[in-house]
Amino acid sequence: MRHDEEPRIGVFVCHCGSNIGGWLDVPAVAEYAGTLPYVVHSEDNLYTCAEDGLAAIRKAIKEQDLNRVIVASCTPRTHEPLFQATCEEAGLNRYLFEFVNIRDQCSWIHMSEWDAATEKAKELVRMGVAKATRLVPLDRSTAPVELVAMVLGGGITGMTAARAIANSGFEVYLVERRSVLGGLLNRLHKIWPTEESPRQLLDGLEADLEANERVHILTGTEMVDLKGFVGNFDVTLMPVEGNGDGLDLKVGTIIVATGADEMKPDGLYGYGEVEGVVTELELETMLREGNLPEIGNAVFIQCTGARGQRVTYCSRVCCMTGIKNAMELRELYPEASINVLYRDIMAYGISYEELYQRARVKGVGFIRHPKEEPPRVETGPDGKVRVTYRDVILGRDIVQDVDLVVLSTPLVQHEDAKELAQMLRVPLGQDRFFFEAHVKLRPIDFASDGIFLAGTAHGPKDIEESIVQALGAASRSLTFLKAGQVLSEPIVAVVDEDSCIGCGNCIEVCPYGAIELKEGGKRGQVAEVNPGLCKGCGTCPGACPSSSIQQLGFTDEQILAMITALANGGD
Amino acid sequence: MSEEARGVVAEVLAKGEVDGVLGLREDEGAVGPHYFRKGDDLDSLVLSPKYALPLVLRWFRLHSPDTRVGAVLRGCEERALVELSKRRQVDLEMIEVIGLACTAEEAKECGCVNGSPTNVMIGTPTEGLPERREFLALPDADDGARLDYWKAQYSKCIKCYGCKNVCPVCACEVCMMADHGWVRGGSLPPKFATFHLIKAYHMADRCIECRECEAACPVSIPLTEMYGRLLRDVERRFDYVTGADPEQRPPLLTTLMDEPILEEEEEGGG
Amino acid sequence: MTEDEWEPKILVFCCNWCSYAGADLAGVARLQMPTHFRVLRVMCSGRFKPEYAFKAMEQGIDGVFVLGCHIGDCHYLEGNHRAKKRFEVLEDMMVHLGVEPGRIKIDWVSASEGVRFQAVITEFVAHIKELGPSPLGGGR
Ligand code: SF4
Ligand code: SF4
Ligand code: SF4
Ligand code: SF4
Ligand code: FES
Repeated sequence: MRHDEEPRIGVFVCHCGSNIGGWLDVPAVAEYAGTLPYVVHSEDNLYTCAEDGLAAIRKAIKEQDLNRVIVASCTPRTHEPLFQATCEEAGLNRYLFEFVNIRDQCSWIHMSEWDAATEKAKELVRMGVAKATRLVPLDRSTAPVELVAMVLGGGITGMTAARAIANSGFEVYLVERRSVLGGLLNRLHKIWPTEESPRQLLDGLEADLEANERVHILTGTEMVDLKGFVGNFDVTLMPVEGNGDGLDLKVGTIIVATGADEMKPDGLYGYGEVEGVVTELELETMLREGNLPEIGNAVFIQCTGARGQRVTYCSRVCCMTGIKNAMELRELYPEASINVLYRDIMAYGISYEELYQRARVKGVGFIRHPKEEPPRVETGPDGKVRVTYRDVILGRDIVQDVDLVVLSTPLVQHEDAKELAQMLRVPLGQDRFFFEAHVKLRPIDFASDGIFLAGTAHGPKDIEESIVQALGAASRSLTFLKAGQVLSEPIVAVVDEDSCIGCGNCIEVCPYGAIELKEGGKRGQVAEVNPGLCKGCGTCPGACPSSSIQQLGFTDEQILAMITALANGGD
Repeated sequence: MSEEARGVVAEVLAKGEVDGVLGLREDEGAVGPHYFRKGDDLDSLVLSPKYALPLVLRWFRLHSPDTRVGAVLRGCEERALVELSKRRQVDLEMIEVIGLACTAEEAKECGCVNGSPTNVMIGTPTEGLPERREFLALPDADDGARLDYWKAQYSKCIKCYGCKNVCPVCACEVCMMADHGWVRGGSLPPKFATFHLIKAYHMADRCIECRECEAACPVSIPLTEMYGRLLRDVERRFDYVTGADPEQRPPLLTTLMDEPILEEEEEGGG
Repeated sequence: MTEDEWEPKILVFCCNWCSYAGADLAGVARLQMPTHFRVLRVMCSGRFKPEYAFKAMEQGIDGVFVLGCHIGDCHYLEGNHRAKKRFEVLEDMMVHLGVEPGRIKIDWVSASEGVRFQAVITEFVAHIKELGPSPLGGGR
């Protein structure tokens, strides 16, 4: 194999137009690279990532018989795959490529220090060469994908995702811990802007799901254990009530659509203490069941518990819910005075702003109060609720005795989300909602492959947004199911069975349970890494007292060589 | 006390709850570990000098896992056994400790703090030992005197690996201190200070302060002055006392959950 | 090398997902900072082990800085917990050895905290400059 040969390293230093070349001496860095051990070729390019730059790499690999390639340029986070692919095209294993970051972490942050920045770039290249010298070819492995998906949560989001997956021809298990599908929608009165009953929406979906033999609906069921990895998850499901039999499933992908709850604002604005103070969902239930008292006047208090009061975030849907329900009351009781007390109205997008305007025209009052002076709610005379609020425009306190106070509270994560997160090995953010892999680039993925996120489990969203994300998650899931196999990065841990004593330290620190003991080695037991489970974090080598476990691509030998190259200026 | 020990071991063997007893035997003036079986002549059983039997006990797990073995162990050895079990090198279920209390003189000589094993069967538990061992006063750190002290101490090292070889809780097959990637071969004394710091770091959550290493060191480097201090730090930070609770996991293997520093982290995390 | 000419050499371990991305972001935002540090990318701060700090300082590196994701945000869930714990012991070792514990440091920088990256690096470099050359590096 090539890596047994003496290293022949090619170094390509990029000007990035003037992004690098304008702030440090790129030709000098390339020239310096040429003096380093095992470097047989070095050049500077205007844009190494442009086609002529890539051609130069391919050419040098062929003509100079390079067996290692280094590009010193922007950042591996955006360009490493491109250069790796270029190496591959020229017949070089993509893991014999090493990236040196001299733009984002050098030229751009040292713009007035030409000499020092040049010196730093040289040292970074020297470290890169030290590592490259010790690179070995690695193979990405493939594993088959179980052609079944599981959706956790049977609300509108989960139902939508399950239907999309089944319609694409794959089997899907829809797991809901309550006894019925539909989630929060079951508790709504009407859906805006269409003014449909949520039942219409749910019934249609439910009928589709029931008619599709690829869909397995499991209500009253929850996940109690999860093992495995993308393409090969082992799931254990159990009935929520009683002690019926569990069900073991093998699934390839998982969609987390477990939804959210409405915050119960105990202790805020008299909730739970003063008769006649309810939340939006409680109001919707009354509307649905038609048991509202006669209403002469009502007040809505927006942002209850949100935006710094109990939780920090804006819950996104409560403004529209408040406006919707205020309109509803307006229509039911045309004579009544309906006021919405708000800090800011977030009627974002196209249709919501229009609805907001419509509500104003129809005579719903909107009264703004500053954050520091929230309304006060107490028991009033004659079974009424007394609300005192500051009207900033009038500049004085207003006291009103009303029949109903409706609190617009935020959606919050379920109390026990942490358990689920731990089972799934995915993170919750600071606000306790599930946390995506990247807020902009990977908004539906989790960092753990094969697990996707949709709906209000991710944060407050309206129905439309939840459905969009459900379809996105279904499509992300289908990407894996259709491919039928997964490629894995080979930067996994490997064990030296001659020196491992099976102490198990590595097993205990592995966050993915990727290591087990097996028989063998000098002490009768050695660690064994399941490369399918290993995510390549490299935590285990730090726990091994004898360096018997190493992370490929980040071995002790490679890291030490970089440290030595930095310290001593070479081997 | 050897006489008493012979009686106790004979009794344990007679009861038949163990298949044999690991102890020390004197043979033509040389003392070494020996596995006594029922019916064996126990006259040769001795109790000193101190010998790290836990390392020998590893053998049983490996070669004879179904053997129930009794072992005559001192307090420090029992603690070492606990640490070894946490690293899966011995099976505590299969070992019955026949506790041997060190004499007051012995304990004093070792600077031992918690004298006796949990179940003393031989000798009398030593009393009146200091709560905590007293460390040497290290020179001041600010003007570099402390570092100079360690430089001088560690530069006496002749890399004999005695400290590692006698240590009852060092269990590796290949020691990082002997790995040329970490410690360059051929240089004497070893370059300051990776060689010694590797050992110290690896001891921070497992050394049980038997001080066998110091006894073995031919150039008298006060090794446990470093290890012992680290143990106190680990105890303070993570509430972990080496050798005490077989169920408690070594703190470097657990997460920050339930550790006091987690709160600091969460508050300070700006 | 005389005192005047001395420039600190600082090794910074950055985890791929947060702190390395934060460092890149500092670049994208053109946030200026001292040049004396060199980033070594690892996938997670959990890859750090104190033995690296020994080797670095033994060879004359003046400061070692480990940057990871904030606690709770580690891409691999708990890697930074391990790094933090190992660091606690490392810091204690430095104290007992008589080396200024400020030569080694662990901190957290998220992918969106370019400004924080600039701040912690600037401060660390300044601190190492104040401390002077590492007393551990032979030959100095
Ligand atoms: S930590 Fe090292 S010695 Fe222990 S089981 Fe893992 S690889 Fe083996
Ligand atoms: S590299 Fe990380 S995921 Fe892989 S085995 Fe080690 S600790 Fe587990
Ligand atoms: S005192 Fe020395 S020999 Fe005894 S456990 Fe600690 S390091 Fe090992
Ligand atoms: S026993 Fe003493 S001389 Fe021998 S290696 Fe250990 S510290 Fe060095
Ligand atoms: S990935 Fe950043 S600390 Fe683990």
